[in-house]
Amino acid sequence: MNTMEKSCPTTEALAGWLQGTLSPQERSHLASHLAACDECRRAVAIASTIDAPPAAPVNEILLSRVVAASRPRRLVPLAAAAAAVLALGLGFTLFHKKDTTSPIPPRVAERPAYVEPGPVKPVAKPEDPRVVTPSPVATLPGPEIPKNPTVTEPPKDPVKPLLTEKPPDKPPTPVPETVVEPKPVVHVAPPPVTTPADILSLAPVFVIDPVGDLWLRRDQAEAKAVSLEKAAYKDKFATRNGGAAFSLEARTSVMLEKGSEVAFWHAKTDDIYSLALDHGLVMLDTEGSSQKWQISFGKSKLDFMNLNGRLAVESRGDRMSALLLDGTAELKIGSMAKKAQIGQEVVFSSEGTVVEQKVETQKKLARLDELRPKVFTAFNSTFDEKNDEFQPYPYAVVAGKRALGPTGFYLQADALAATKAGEKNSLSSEIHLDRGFGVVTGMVIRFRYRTSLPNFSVKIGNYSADVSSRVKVGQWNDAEIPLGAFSFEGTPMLPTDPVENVRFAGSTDKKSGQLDIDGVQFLRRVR
Amino acid sequence: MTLTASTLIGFLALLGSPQDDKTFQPILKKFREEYYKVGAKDDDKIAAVNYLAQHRHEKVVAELAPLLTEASLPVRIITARLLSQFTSVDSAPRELVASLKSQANSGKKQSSVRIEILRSLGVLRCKSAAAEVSKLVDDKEVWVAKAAIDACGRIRFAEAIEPLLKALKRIEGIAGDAEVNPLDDLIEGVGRGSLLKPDPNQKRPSERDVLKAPILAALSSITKQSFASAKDWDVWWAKNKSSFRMAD
Repeated sequence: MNTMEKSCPTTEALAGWLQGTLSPQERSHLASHLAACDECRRAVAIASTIDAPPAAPVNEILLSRVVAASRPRRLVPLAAAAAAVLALGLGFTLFHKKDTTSPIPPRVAERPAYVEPGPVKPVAKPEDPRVVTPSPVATLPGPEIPKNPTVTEPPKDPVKPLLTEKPPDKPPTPVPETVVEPKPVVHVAPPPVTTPADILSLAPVFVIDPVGDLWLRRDQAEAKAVSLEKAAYKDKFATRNGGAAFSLEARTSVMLEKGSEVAFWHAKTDDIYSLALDHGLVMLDTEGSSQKWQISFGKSKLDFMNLNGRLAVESRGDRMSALLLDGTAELKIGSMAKKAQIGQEVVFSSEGTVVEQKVETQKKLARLDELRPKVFTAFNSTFDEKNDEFQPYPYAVVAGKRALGPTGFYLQADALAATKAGEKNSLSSEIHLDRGFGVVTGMVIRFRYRTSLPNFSVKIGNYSADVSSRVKVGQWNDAEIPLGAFSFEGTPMLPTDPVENVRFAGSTDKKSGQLDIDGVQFLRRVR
Repeated sequence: MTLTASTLIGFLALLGSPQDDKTFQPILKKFREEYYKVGAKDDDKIAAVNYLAQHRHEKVVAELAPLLTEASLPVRIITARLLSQFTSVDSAPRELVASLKSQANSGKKQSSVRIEILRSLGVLRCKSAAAEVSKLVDDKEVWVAKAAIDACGRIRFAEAIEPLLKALKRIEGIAGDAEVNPLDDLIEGVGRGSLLKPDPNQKRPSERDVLKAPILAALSSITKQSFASAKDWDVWWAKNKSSFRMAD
């Protein structure tokens, strides 16, 4: 469910849920509602982090996922079922802890990064002004995909394993307030030196498309990283039995070697990404864009300004090395700034000593290629995105409108009547990407379409490709077009050409037509 | 006085090449390392060309010029496109014209390279390219012809008027009915897949649809006159040919 229902319970009822003062019947009714309503579930989750008694048994990472569960998903029924169980589990835990006299744990209050900025609002959400239901003038009535039935009997605790999910070789749960490092022989870098003001400016980072043995550790909780995982500066990404890779906010590919542990955060004011490596080897690929990166190690900091390429950072006990594998960067060490050299390893100690030496890069590059995700998502839109949430792929609809169907929102084309005799009526929709990117070899655009037109065109900048519809009117179909197939007056789209918008357009002799688009993705497949 | 002038000339001459060498040596070295590294793919090569083309200088043009005829097609196209930004470097249009005439870019498969070169010559408003550009106004490849027509309109030279009128007359006749495929097999190495197979029922634009408006725009740009048909243009040209002077 994407918007708050008119039948949402009152604030008092939700408070009663948290306080455990509801009757069993009310509780049952509210549980069903929470399973289906993103807004209420979110409100409960946020409220629980503020008002709840000790949450020690609750996995912090999973709690943040419950908060994030208001993000719409394609698999609505599955998500609803999972959310129902999580909501019930959370409510049950909090309900039973209510009577304890323990104070509110400070660590929850200290971590504003995990709390969604939106207010706790169990009141009706205003309608999204952009939301327009399908207009019979613009579209022919087509058979909608039947709405999945409400889950009446959730599966037997399908997410329960998550709550107790632990890596196979995880050490025993440490005693509270005692930091136990899993590998004490390896030097662990102290947390980054930050003032409270610094901390407030640090934004959490989002993990996209994780692959491999990637774990996220937050305080004593630990869970396997999932897509759109949010991690703040205190959180650690760890790999145990194998390497892992993920996309950091769809901007940087991150590869972690087996047995690595690293923290990432983002200083939004200066748009600087930071990395603090505890141990292991981490490699970054900026995927063709220029970025600012800061590598922290104890009191030492190393800045790679305008990094456009691949960087390896490796812990060596009491020292750390940073190595530009390819591309370009400006290296800043303290007050000294110079151009980073490929293959010139910068080894620095936690005390600030810096040594440079020439090393071989080929092996690391080969390993980077082995670990890197085989598919890199450069852009992804389901049209279900909410304005008040983090959007890894920000965009704006500049033509057409978001319309609500049974399985979520999609992009509906505007119908434009012909202005001259002999012209055809046209349909068009367009999205503008806030963060454009350059084409790389092997990139494809994928989307779903539903149309009454025999063919339509997809246009990126000046370049266009024609699509011949192969499905019946009203049916959704998948399309995938290599960007190399886009052309402009005889010249093809080439690597480095910018992708800043996508337009879908067609024309028809009839008075009305349909051109609906959903799930627009730009993917780079590694050969 | 004479001594001062000659000293200045000598100083400027000295300032020329050695200084340039010092400035451009590391840039060229870095470009060569990136471009010619073992296993470099088109993406890497294009990135290297993009890097080098940030520096607008004769030495850079000299380095990039061989790529217009020797590199892979995507690299040739990108190089031609980037050279259009070298407005203050005399050798850039010269090298573009040379590569347009080159045998290496004369085949059907290289049509997209010729198109990009023509666009760049138009952007550079290269008068010395007039003869080569006007030859291609009636090219059998429709998109090459269109690029040449557009370039004529941008460069603005009187020698283009007659080829443009000839092309206009041709497409106003039966020859203009020929359909143009948007992809037109100009792009090499792209598998269209079933999704992009042209619909047999879909009417494609004709040569007339594609070329008439650009020809009229180019003629209008050159002559500052406006007529809608080949017949009207012919009448006007017959009257004004002998006395025609290009307006600024």
